[in-house]
Amino acid sequence: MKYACYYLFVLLWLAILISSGIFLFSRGFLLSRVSKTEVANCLHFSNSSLNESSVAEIFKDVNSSSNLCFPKKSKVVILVIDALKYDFGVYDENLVDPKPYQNKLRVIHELLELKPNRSRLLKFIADPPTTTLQRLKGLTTGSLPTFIDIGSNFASPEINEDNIIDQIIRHNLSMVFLGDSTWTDLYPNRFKRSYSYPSFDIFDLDTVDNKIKGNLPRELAKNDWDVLIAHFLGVDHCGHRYGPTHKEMERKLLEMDDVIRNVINQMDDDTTLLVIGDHGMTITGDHGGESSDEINALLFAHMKSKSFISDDYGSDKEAMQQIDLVPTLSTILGVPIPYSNLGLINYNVVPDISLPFMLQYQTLLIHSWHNAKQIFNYFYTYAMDNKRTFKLQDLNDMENKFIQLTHRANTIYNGDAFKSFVGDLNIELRGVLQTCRNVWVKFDPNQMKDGLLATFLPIFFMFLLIVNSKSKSFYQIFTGKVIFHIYALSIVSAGFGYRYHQMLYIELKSEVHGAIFCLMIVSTLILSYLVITNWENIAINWHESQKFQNIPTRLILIFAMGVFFSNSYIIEEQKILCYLLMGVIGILVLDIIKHCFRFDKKNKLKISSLFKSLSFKLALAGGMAIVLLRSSYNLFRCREEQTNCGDFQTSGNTVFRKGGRGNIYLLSVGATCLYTLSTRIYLKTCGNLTGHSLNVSFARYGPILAAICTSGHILLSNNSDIKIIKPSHVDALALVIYALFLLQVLILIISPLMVFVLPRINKQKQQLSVNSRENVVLELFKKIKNSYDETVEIGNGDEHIPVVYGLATVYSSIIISFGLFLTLLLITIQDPKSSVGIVICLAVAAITLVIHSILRFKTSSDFESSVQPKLAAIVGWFLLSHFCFFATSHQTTLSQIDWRAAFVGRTSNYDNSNVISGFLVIINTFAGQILFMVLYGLLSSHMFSIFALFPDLSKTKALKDKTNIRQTTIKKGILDSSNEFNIPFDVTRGELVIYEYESVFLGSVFKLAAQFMLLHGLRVLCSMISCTIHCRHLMVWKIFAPRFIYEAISTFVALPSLILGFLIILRIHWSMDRLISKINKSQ
Amino acid sequence: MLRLDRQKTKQQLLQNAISLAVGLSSLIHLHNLKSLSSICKFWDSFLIPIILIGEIMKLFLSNYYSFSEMQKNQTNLNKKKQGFLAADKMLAIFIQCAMVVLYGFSCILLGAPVLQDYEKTCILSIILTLLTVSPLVFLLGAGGALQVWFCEKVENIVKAEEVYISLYKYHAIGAILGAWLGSVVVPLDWDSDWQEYPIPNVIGALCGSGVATLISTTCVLYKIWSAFLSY
Repeated sequence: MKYACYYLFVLLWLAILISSGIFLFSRGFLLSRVSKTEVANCLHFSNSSLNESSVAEIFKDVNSSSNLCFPKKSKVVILVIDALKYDFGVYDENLVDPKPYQNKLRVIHELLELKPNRSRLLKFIADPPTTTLQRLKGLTTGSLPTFIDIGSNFASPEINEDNIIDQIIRHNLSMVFLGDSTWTDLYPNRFKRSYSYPSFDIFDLDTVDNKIKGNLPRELAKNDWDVLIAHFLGVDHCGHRYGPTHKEMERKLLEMDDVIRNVINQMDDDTTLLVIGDHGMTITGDHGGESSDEINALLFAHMKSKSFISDDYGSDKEAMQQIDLVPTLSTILGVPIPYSNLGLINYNVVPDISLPFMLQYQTLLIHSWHNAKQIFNYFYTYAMDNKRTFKLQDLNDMENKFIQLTHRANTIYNGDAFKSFVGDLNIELRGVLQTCRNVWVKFDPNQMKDGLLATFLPIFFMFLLIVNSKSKSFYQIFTGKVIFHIYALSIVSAGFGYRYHQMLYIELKSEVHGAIFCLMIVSTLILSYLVITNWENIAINWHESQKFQNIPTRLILIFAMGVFFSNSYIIEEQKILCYLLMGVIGILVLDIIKHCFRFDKKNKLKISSLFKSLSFKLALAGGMAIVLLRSSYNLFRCREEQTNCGDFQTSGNTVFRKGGRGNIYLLSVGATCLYTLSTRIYLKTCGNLTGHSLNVSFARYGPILAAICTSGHILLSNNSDIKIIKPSHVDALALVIYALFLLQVLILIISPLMVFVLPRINKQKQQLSVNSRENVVLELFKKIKNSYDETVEIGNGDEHIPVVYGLATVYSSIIISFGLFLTLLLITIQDPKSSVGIVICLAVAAITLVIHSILRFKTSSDFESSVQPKLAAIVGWFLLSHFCFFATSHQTTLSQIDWRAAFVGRTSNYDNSNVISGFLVIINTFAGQILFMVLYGLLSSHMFSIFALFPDLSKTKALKDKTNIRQTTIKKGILDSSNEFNIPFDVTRGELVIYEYESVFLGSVFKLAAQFMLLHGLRVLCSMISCTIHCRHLMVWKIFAPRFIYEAISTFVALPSLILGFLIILRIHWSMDRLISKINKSQ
Repeated sequence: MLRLDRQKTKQQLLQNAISLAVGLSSLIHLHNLKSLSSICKFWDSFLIPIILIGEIMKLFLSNYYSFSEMQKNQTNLNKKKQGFLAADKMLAIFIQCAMVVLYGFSCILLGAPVLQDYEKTCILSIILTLLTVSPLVFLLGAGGALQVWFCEKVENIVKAEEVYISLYKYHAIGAILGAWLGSVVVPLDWDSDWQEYPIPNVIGALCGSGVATLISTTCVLYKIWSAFLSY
């Protein structure tokens, strides 16, 4: 019993090692930034309110008057041409044989020659990732796009950070938009008029552009707007389809040339035209990465009558960062610079319009200082709110410099002083940008590498150690001394790393990094030591195991892991998992047929005997499992990338509210009741519901109550038509289920055993009390009686035969009963469609268990091989736990999290506790992981309960080997381990056998849990590797990173669930121990 | 000293040669098709006839050998002749049709659209039937085939037929595994025409059976080689 606790500690250690690796990796990979929802404000000055005294007032203290906005300088037309690379706009007249993309935008060249003061051509440098959505975020908020903007809304792409569009609207300027619908997704209902067209079909070069061209002249003529944005998609699509060196590109660029000319002809004198590309493209026409081809877009600015500021005020004349667009636009339009902007005003594209009573440099000083204050304000607020993001020393340096600059700002009295000031200021602000970029845009390869290693090494060594050791030998490997050393060394090393992470020679970023790094090294050393000391056993096991066994199962496992490496596999993952699961069931059924689906007599082939045969029934059950899996196709939620997917944004339950599919309620209620009923019948048949003790009564009546509450909750919570019932009453139903579940947990802790020891009475009465319906128990009773007969003297012993109901399924019954309550809890949290999915998964699991236990009985030769599940079953169980995620209508995208679960049972008095909400959402999302990992013990013990239920099944084998030796007494097998493995055990005695072979059973349950942990670890490792490989892939933020997040959380959920499952088995075993000793004593 | 069963080896090699020839010619045929999507139509490609002709050729070959063997011991011949009666032929046709339906059903279960693509599913299941079930049924008749599947031992077969049965077994496993593995390429976003539903599975089945044949041929050749060495 003691070593079982050691096993628990080993599992805990393994779980900690794997999770720490995942954690470290995610710190390096998942760039995150907390998005701030504050909004910038400013004091508005109109031309009329400016006079000599007010100007003097302003310049008395520049520092305090920095939040001023001056009037709009001009109207702005922004033509966004998707993927307009800088090279496209450069004109080279010496070029003899121009490529299709060269020298096509002649208008830019002509205007630059003709009106150099009124035209500007700049490199427009993008921050990676160079995808349109991220670029648009950068172009409108002025901040650096990261993967997770914490605090932003997951459900819709709408931007909730302060941005230029909202600032424009807030200051009563109006906007018109034409083109790519991404804009209207990001900013719904902001535009006065919008003509948005979906950008879905990347092979369509012209539709969107033609529609814009149709509407653009009319809008330009209307003149009731201040900002007009037109987003052309044709060039980007052309690049994706043909690449830049195709003659289609020539056509599209000439078309764009035409568009620009027309706009310039039509726009009035008081308008600034900005032609910008949001990113470039590679020579193959793709984008998304950070090569210079991709980040160098183009910016062309032009005004008809006025000129741009031409003096050199420190702004770069060659290149402009894309985030600089936001402050520049704000300056032109006279609105405050958005709160979280990090860009600088580029004066090269600001129209030179003087304000009354102010010199040019004075105006610009106000603008620049406004910009600087805004950036520092944002930066320091962020740094204060998120203490660990930036290094303290950097912050101090910056603050000192900023204070110096503040003093300088007040002492500028001429243009030259301003020029030198603004030069220093720009250097300082670029320093801030660089600091932010290091934190928000750059992956941290060190942490990623260490995270990968910290996950891989424990998995590898544990695989060597655990898979290759025999179940009975674990207690020799993991002795108390070893466990003590493991924990002592781990804690010491982690503490050392935490404290001295800066002193080590390797670059360790933070305390946590140092702790995990040292933990990894020390635990790897411990593990390798353990492997070396047990090398003899491992080598023997390798020698004994057959080569090339389980090839199809391994193939399936490899496919299941390989899913992560291709974005199209991730998109179709639900179908792939289904396919592989069917493969696993197929393998099991084929194995069954191979082992027992043969008629002994050579020519008696009758249809009736075929139908009667066991393996036919099993094959039929397997077929049924496959049909069930196929029918779960209807439960999948589709994702945006799949074609004809309508409901990717609407949350699952709105579909039902619309009506027309109301029968899904009935289906889910029916499934719930069927599941409860069949489980109850099963338990009753096993004899576990006999007697009147408290826990048995709870197991008897609790599920009925829970099922009723669950059904009621399903029916009432989703139906908004029923107005009579108060929400608090619906909540009460959910609360009852929570309470019942807690009660079940309590019972599990206090007195788990669902057995009934018949009170001691006379022999005649005993036989009367066992009636024909409980033949199992009768069987069991006989066995026990026989076994006692041999030792106890005849006559004397008859009075002392203990009769125990439900002893044959003592382990599995408790797990199943616990699982029942857990399932009902999970069903309550899911929406109705998903609850059908859970029941389907459970049914498939049950069929797999039955097939597998019979298969194992046919193939196993000793006790150890009969409690150690086959690889196919382990893989099947593992895949099923992942498949359940999809069967419960979930998808691995961040926008499709089911937030509704957070309110189950809390709608009427919502307590605003985010912890509980998060907990409920995680339980909802990873229901499959929790359920299947808690119930994993069934895989080990279930064979015995099957044969205890149907003793006939074992007859075929019993006939063959008649050496059916019975155990003489119920004893603990650990004491004489020398001969126990040679004794053929009697499976009809059920799980009592398990108790007798305690050491082997606990060892193999431990092994199984460790195997599951290794599988989970392996899967998440694959996900991590694929993220590392694809970290500059176009789809990394959309597909790979969310997949990794889901996989990581599912592993974080699965590991504790496995430990919980192991704990349950330990608890049962412990109380079983006490029960048996009590019976023996009273005997 | 290793002894080589010359007769058996000869039969195995000839069978495998025909199998490989069928596989190769059907792949060449596929290569020469204008577009691979014509596999999806019944009358646009000669894939099914080619495989069928191949199976019939195998049948002739096997009949030639098994009859010559049977003539040596007359008792078997009488029983054999009785076997191929009208009822048995009907049953054979029925079994094959049933297998087509079963395969089609499995395809749907494994994720094919339920009814829209019935023609494609039909073609795939016919090809699978031809590659897996038909050789056995052609050789042994319906009763024999059922015995091979369901009984431990098959009665009234000569040694030549046993050789074939084991060959067909490999062949069938290869075809099914190949068709199953063929689905690997379906979800990828390469937008190729050969990624459409039945094509990778059909090609997978053909290649799978081809690979299985190659493996068994290699085994036979290895045996010949080791026998040759031991002389």
